[in-house]
Amino acid sequence: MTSNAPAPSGLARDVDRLSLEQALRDFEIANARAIDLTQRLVDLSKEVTRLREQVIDAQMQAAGARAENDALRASTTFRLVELSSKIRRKLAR
Amino acid sequence: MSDTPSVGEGRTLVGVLVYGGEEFVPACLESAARLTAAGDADVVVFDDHTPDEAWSASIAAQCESLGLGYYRSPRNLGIPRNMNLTLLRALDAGYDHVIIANSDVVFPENLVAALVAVAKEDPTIASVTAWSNHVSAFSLENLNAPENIGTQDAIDRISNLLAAHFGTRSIPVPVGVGFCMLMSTAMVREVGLFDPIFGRGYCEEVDWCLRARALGYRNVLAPAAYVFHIGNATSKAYGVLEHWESSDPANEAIIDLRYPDYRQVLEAHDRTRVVHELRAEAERVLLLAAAAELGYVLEVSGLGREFDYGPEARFVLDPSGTRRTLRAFHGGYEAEIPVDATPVPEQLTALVGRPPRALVVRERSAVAPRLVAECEAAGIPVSDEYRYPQAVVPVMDGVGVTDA
Repeated sequence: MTSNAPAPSGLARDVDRLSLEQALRDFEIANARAIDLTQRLVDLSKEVTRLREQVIDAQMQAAGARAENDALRASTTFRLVELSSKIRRKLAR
Repeated sequence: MSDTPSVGEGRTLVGVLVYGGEEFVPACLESAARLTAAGDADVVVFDDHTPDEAWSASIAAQCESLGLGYYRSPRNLGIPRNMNLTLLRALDAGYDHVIIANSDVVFPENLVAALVAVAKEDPTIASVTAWSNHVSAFSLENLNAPENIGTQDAIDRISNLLAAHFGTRSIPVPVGVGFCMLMSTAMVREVGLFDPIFGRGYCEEVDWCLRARALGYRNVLAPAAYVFHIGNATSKAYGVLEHWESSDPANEAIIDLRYPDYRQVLEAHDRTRVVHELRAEAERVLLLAAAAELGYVLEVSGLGREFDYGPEARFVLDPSGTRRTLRAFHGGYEAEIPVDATPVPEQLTALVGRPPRALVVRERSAVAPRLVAECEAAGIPVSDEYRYPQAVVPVMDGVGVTDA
């Protein structure tokens, strides 16, 4: 070291102290981040569950609507209406 | 023992992070010792608990013999937390500036003076990054850096040439690069330490510089301090990075999350071409200095070969080029020198301060005879490599091929 620098033992002692103090701060920060992230994880997990429920509801509604649509298209009335539409289009030519 | 450096000297603390590195650490420490010899810096080597204790002991012994401070962490901390020890030490001991540096480098003797001078130019400067052959997108690359600039004398020469030309000039960069970066301790106090979230390292200085930027401060690159840098040497040796990586993707993802516009800022900076222009200017300075110092040859050739085949610089005129530009080569650097319609030897003599030692002809366009005439008029020897001496004129199918 240059003349104004501390002797190695003094340097080691000083840096040990600084390192320990900072390690404690780092631990506090890391702990706070872990708590914050855990809370966010919990919140987001709830959100995921809620959204999944919405998806299942939507899928069930869609399935019901599809079945209703199929039943409608299979009915005699629908087929008669479809046939009359085709005849009208041909006559119109 | 004094815990606080006296005013006017020892105001900069250089912290060198070491982890293994038997191949390159000795050269780094020797160059670091020269920084302390200049009396304007103290150097402390922070050994991040190198696994090989015998090598750690050897580093400690080298530091003691070179007059450098040495500290070995009781356990491995990773780059950000280990570099934080440098910052904390600088704050605690009352330094004005702190330089964090990797150990796969060779420092030039003017490093501290050049970086501090730039930092003192403007109180809004948060970080000053040294220039290098390997400093991310801002590099002034060298074709064969270990051989050309990997020694103390070579890097001192290059850095002193650049310092003489650029002085305290700096260019703005979006972020600094932690391989060799100076910060004032006042700025460290305001912006804070490196975030340990970056674990084993990479991107911690990007985060720091972007935090400083968000506070209204600037990051700059100092072309007057040029450091030889191997790059990723420890990280790849110890598996922090894969061989194809130059940064840690997980840490880059943190940057992307925290600073969604960062990549756009980088692209916008690249479009300014400020680094490109600085590079071109520096290469011109280095090439002209080499030519003035060691001499040079003028060459007319369609092939822009980059390698050196002698100690001299080479100025190559490509006859097929649309612009009249000389490409200059020396010591792993390449520069473009525009020329006008006046005789090229005259222009070069004025530019370099001495005439070319010779003209070397390596092609057969109309440009070659003109250059030959210009050189012969100026008394410059001509070496035409395509002209066979009569004694060795090849004979093909019984017909003698005469020299045109």
